[in-house]
Amino acid sequence: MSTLSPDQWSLLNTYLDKALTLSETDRAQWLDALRNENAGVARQVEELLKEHKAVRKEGFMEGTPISMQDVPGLAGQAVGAYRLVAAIGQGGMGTVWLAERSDGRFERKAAVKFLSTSLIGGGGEERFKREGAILGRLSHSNIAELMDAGVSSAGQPYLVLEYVEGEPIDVYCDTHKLDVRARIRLFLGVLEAIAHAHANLIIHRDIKPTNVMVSKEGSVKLLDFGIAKLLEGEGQPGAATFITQEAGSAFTPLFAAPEQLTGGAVTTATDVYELSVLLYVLLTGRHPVGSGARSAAEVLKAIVEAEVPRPSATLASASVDLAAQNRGTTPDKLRRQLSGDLDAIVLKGLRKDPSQRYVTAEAFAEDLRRYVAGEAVIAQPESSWYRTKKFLLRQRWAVASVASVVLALAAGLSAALWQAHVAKNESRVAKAMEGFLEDIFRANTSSQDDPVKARQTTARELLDIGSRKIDQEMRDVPEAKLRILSTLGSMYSDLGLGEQSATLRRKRVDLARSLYGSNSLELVEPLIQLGGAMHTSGSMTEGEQVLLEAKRILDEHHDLTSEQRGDLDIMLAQHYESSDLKMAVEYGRQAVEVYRRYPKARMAPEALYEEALMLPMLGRSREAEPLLKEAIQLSIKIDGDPNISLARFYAYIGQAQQDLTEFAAADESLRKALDAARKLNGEDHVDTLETELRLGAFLIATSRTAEGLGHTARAKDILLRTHRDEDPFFAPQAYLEYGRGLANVGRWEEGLGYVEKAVENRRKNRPGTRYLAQMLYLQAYILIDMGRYSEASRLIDEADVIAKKTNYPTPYMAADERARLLIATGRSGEADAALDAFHPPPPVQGTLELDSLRVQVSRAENAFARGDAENARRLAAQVLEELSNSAARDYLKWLEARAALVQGLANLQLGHPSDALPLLQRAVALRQSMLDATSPLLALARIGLANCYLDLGESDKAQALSDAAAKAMASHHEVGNQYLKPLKDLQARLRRGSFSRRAG
Amino acid sequence: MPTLSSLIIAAEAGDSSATETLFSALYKELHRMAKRELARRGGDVTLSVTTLLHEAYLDMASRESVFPDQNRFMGYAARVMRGLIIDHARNRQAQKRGGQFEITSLNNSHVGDVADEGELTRISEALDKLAKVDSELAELVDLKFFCGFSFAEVAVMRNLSERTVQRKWEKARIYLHRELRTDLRL
Repeated sequence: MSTLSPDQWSLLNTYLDKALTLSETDRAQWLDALRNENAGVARQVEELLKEHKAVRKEGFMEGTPISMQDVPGLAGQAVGAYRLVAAIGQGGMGTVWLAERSDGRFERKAAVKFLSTSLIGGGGEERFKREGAILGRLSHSNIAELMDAGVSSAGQPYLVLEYVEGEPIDVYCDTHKLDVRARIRLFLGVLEAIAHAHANLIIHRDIKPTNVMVSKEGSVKLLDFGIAKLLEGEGQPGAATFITQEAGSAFTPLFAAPEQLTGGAVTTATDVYELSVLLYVLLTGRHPVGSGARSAAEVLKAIVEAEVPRPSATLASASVDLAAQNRGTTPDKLRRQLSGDLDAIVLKGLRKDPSQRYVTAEAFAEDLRRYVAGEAVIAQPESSWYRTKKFLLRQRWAVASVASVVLALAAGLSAALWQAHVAKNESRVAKAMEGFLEDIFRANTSSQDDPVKARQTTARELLDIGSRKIDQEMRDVPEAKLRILSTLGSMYSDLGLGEQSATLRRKRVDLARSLYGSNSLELVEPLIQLGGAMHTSGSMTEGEQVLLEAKRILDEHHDLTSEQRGDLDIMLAQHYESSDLKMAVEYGRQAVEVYRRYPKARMAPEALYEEALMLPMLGRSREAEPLLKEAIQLSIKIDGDPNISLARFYAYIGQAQQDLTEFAAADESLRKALDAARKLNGEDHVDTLETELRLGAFLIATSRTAEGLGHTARAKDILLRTHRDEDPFFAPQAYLEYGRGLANVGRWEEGLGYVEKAVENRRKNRPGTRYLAQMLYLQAYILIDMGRYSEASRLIDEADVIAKKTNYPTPYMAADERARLLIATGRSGEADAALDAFHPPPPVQGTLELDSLRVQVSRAENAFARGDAENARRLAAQVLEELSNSAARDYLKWLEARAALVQGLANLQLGHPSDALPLLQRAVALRQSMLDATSPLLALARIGLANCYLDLGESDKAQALSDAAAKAMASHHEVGNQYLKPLKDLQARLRRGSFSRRAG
Repeated sequence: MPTLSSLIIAAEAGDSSATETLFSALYKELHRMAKRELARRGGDVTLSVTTLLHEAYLDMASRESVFPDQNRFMGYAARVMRGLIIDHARNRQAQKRGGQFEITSLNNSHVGDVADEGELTRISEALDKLAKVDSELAELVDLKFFCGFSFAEVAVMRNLSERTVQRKWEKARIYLHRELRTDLRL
């Protein structure tokens, strides 16, 4: 539904005029006639008349705006059982008065807060009193007691609270110059109070320094517990929490959690977030979203979207000296104290995704206690790599509501009577929603006699109750039901329950469809949400259908350029990433096109990245590099330098450069990536490790095996410490790269073990994808070396099937190992044909045609195996020639060694041992520099050299080499015959003592 | 500083900068007068907007030799009044210390009133949209809702029958209600 245009209005105006002058019955007849004449117009007129009905029913705008007047004095007036003494301040919610009991019964002083809201009729009063009673039952020495809650005859609500004298906690800490540990101890007191409230299913919702007071004696008292909820009244649930603001300041919700701003569910994790902000302030003296004058809208955006800098990092500023002073220490000491575990603990509480935080205040407190005791904490830094891209997208859906919240914010929120009176339909909707969500979280308290049992009901169970209820209820307010389904879906998703989330989102789609029809634009967002949910938890085909339906609707509405279209394109690109590369690239490209119109869109660099990501795999690396460079520029413009995405982008540029054989540049890029990750996150952060893994793999591939293995080993260790073994994203990568490295240097058994783990993981989590295929090829490669030929063959077959299905072009490794398998099993004649399955991508100007060279070396080996030494020698010599002229030579020792070896062997075969000698020496030298002493590859080279020495009459040298080779082979349980036979032949020669040329 | 009457004429001719100047001049005047009125009366009393506007008109007209008639004046004044009222509501909610217009206490009942500046702002924005589509209706809302003129008074000011004014009011409400609903739906 959208604003009526002038033309639309002037057309409908005349009809409306007519309709309004007619009586009910006449109107019906008139409408009928109109429908026959012009159905479209008739429908619109009908809609407007329906609108009119609602207007009349609600009494929309029948009152007047507030009149202007002065305020009379209040002192001496009675409020319930109390009498007002004097105004003590302007709180955020209204004036606060000191009061005492009018019957003189107790000495205790109270504070009376008038809330600037009106609650007349609509059940608001009863709700207020009821809620107040619930809060009043909260009894804890660290929580200011709510002694009474009432509503005046004029509808003005008031609260009578325990009068608390003291300072806000941040001021207290600074005045007393408390050090970090003392502050934490104080903070633990706060956590205990909150934990108590959570155990009673009460969420504070508005934790900030002025609500956490500390008395002279140093004891903590929490104010305004759950009051924000009291004030929601007829408004939107969750949006009410920002009316509390400091006198004189703008309406900045500095302590609000992201989900409060985006209309998500408010849970105990919301309190955890606010507590974390408080802790952040206490530890650093700064606020996570920075300080300085900012508009409400900017603050909102920052809270919802911006990454929070580590507490220890945020100290790099001018105010650090003051901050350190207030904590009785020096800037350096403070920084060191905060970095590491404290950083991690605080950041964990500040995750955008509530399910990633400490779920309760108790868990938070436990980790802090562990820190204080010097034990290992549970908090681990969050990975941006895996930051569920869909979560990022999900944030965007909610952004639309931020705008309306800003509006409500700028105005301050008070459930005006007018609002209740006027927007009664909205109020009905809001009420239905609120009641529903309320029930979910209170469902058990009333029905459970045992409060302990009530507390143990998990969020999951409550959500299940909720989703069962939704089926029967809210039939008459379908728009509200749509919203609830979305909220519930998100809540399930937050708990990691993808399936349930998908179910609810499916229901939402069905409901939207029945409300708006199958072709309405209203259907698009629910569909995209559903598609997103299925990306991780549903069948791939179903997810595809859903997204394609969304696409169909956008197509029909000729919407090719909205941001929604862009988001859909990205979803589709992601979807096809593992099953159809060509489609994925296409959609990625489209997304990029769309996002060019919205340069500030957060997703714009992601779109570029998504498109670039796939190009190297299609052999179009050249195109990837400029895209990634653009993504980097854009990312820096939007998010500054360094930022979370940069490490990832640099890593992918490195990958692209590697594919273009620009190894020096790739080296630089990958080290930049590692640097960026380290700078932003520290040594042990998961992002840092991801980049280390990539750098390590690169180093191994470019012959710097020792350094590379070091990086991958370290990466693997820490990755496995911070993530579960069955983690579907990181664990397989780590296992694979480390395993590959090990196998490459000759530690086959170890390497195979890790690769098998990786394969198992992928089989479970990403079956039928090219990720699995890649791993299977690697696994087969190792098995061939070990002589387990039929196993290897089966795996290659399986991988080939997947590759075909997913449009994944046969990689070199697959073709090469087929050839080697054929050679090993005595079918060398077919080896060349097997190689033909690999199609090197068209040569790119100015790069070394690495793939062609590899193929050529393979063909040389094939030729040699067939007994065609002449061709083998020739082919290998060409490769070496090219390499010697290339700047990349130092990076391609693997290739050079292989070529030198086969050329050397061919020369031997042809009876030219003196020509062979330097080549074979080179092969051994190269392999020795890269490989483990036990590597059978190295042994093979040694065997070749030994034979050469034998041909040249130097049997001592030959013997020494033979012994070394034998030792190496013996250290493996299984070695393929392609290695064993040459060794056996050599040993036989040595025993024979014959120096004659070996038989072919 | 051009006279108010010349500003009104220029504004009607479509001069947008004149319109701006006119509005800010009117705003200042009306604000000043409202403050003065309240201070004079003091205590627990409601200011009548219509009275204020009438008096404002007399005041301003007397200062210039030639002045447009009241009806033309009221259209602009009513629009300005809308802004004044919303600003007042905003100030009230910002709880400025020592503000002249503070929120009331326990002793008033305001059934049917709009206390919420947020809602008023939304109505105002919707009204601005309506003004682009049908300026007559928007002006009517300013006069009736924000300034409090009765149907009869408006009918006289705009030279229409009372029934027509009523019907226009219904149409305006329909439009605004729909706009607000569009706005609310997330």
